[in-house]
Amino acid sequence: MRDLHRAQGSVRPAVFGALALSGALALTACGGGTGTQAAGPAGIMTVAMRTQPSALDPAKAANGSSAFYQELAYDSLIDQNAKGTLIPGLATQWGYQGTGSTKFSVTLRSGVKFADGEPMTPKSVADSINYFAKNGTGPASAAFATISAVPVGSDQVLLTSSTPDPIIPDLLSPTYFGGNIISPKGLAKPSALTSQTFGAGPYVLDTAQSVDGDHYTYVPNKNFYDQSRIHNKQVILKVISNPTAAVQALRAGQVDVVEGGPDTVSTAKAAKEQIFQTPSFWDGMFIDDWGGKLVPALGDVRVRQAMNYAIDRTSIAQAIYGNLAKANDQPNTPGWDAYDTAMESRYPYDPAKAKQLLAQAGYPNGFTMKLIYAAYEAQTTQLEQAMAGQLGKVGIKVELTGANSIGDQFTKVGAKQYSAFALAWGGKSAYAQVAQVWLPNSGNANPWHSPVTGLSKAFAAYSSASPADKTAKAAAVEKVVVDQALTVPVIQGDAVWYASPRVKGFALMPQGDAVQASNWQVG
Amino acid sequence: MVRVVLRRLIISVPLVFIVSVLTFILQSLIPGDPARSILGSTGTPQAYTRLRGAMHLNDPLYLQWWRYIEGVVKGDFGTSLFTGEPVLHTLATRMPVTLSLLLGATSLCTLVGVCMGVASALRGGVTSKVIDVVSLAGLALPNYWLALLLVSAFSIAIPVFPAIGYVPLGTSPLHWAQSLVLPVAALSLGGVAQIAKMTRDGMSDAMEQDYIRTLRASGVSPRSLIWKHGLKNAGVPISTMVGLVFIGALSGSLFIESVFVIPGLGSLVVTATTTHDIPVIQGVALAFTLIVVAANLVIDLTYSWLNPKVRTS
Repeated sequence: MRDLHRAQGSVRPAVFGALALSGALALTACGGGTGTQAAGPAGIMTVAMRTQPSALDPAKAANGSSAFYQELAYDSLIDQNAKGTLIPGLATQWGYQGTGSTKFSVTLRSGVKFADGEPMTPKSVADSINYFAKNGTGPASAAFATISAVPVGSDQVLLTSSTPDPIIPDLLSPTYFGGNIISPKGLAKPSALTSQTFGAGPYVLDTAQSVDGDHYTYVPNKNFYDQSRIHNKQVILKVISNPTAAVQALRAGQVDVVEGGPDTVSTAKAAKEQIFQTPSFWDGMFIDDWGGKLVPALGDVRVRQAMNYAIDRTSIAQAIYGNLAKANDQPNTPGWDAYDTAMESRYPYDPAKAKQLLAQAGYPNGFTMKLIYAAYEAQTTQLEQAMAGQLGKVGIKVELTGANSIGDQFTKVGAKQYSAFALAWGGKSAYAQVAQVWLPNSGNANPWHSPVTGLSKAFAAYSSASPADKTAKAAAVEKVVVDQALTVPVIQGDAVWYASPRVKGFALMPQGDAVQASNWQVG
Repeated sequence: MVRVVLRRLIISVPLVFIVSVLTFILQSLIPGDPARSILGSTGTPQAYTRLRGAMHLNDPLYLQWWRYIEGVVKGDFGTSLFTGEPVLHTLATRMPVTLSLLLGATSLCTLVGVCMGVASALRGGVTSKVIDVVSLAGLALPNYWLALLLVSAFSIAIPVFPAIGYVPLGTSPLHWAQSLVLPVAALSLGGVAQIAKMTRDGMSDAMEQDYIRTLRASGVSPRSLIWKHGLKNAGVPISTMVGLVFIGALSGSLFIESVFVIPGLGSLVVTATTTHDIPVIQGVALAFTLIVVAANLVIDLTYSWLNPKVRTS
């Protein structure tokens, strides 16, 4: 027994040694918990990004927060201020020429150089726009498909659209990437655009200090034409796909800006971070089978309208999104020309009326339809289940299928396997929305290439409208879309962002996008 | 010893082959289309067709696999469909990060687990029961949840360690160690339980053996009895368990690297799977296989060292 006690005594040093090692590490950490990129140091701003860039090439970039990877390095021809108003960027003046909204001219800012030292010329701008129009695959690509550009004189570029296009100024803004001008060196080697930046923006990607898929470090562009707009020594975009980890990093002082959501907003509020919130997306259902090809019932507008009356939007918004969403009757969000306040409450919750319309259309017992939803979006999953439940009460049975990626989802929609699809959808102008979804040549979102009654005429009037008439004509387009019940919108959701107290210059525009990242600065 | 190494290496060849085939088949079953993942939903049908052709996605699966193996044999693991980076370069960048995590976790598990197991075997009674409870808690708690708890406690409430990130060893050894404390702790807890239990059982058995009694009677010190004679003879099953813990930590690293935003192989394969980056998925599967093969080799060598009968047989 005595020997055993002595033996036990020889265990203690090993245990103490282990504890001492851990304690030493803890003590050495007591100078501040620094990580790979400390948000603490002055002049270095770290932004948490949910995904790595879909592409660094402006022609292939997706919108949403991935735009930050673009706008730090690529200044746009036309910029936007915090109110969403278009302001000069690389172009100082612009405007349509003649009537019909087919010719658009921009006057370039003088003395601009790309980060690689090349001067910006009308030819380099025209080449960049043509490269985008020819090779674009992002959300703006459909809108650019009809546009070509030529240099004019020493400081102008003329854009020509083969069809009336009333939103060319918006297309040349940061929202659509087409105005992100790429230097001739980048255009000469397009493969390099996937891993480097070739813009004329305030920063340039420093590949030596970046790790693909982990963090992207941007350093000041010494050739930028307005050095007073460079506020930070470095801007680091850190990929943090886990939202909880991102908020914890914000609270620990390791990141300065985080895109939030319903799951984390209470944590951010409790931690007294700066919180920015504004409507930016809508969610519900797109009915792509409005022609009734797969499910004949959906070819009747009364049936589609019945589906709208069957949904209790307010309850769903409150249950799933809390204070971050409200009921929405139209497929858009405030701040866009397509959003019409007259359409709010167009379809009040009325299950009795829904059943009446179904009976009038010849479906008193309802019908069955298939829907594919974005299972990769947590709130959309819950939303579609709630919708299916409420539609079931009026006799419409919705068979739900979850898609694991947007690619998978649209592959199946394009294959005509589903009458409807659902995912969170950002606000857009009437032009971009209709071109992407409801024209016969709109791609996968309209797999049967069905026309929409009354839409062509309204769209043509909108496309050729003067700037003064544009809003009214956009409202007319929206009225067709809503009256024809091409969608069953349910909620209008807020974009939520959190920023540490030391961040200045961050704001959300009325359309829901954050102001350009180059405007943010840390104290 | 040489025969042990050679035998293990020979066995690894068909293992790598089988893993490669299985991975290829499984990733082909993942819904979605890599071309659409790259081009997005607004690409034209012609663009999708063009890209699928360029990526050979329309070829039969066996042909795609054979083309891939041909490249691997020549040292070409392909390039990432999204970043264009050579897969081998990406793996080489991220492998040391994951190995830091795994070796750190395994070392901590072994150190703490063995000490707890020895203490439990020698003291018995209440001490043993307390260690049992702590061990079971370590097994029961999901390491993902534990990771979030550790961050809340030691990065936010008491800011001692970083919440996220990894500092390369070459940049700063001190910050490297700091950045690994919480991830290693989160990854280790379950392994501590397993090693402690195996150590306790082995030590209890070893210390009851006649040779221990003989050595004690001949005046060998208690310290030597435990660490040199008892533990060494209990070491065979312990070393096997350590190897299994190491391999288990490999799968746990996917969650831990995600929570702590560590740029290792685990976070790489998660991203690659969601984006259908086939060459990267294949590359990481091969890398994981090689890690497991190496771990098994080390276990075998340790076993040979601990048990002379294996060397001479």
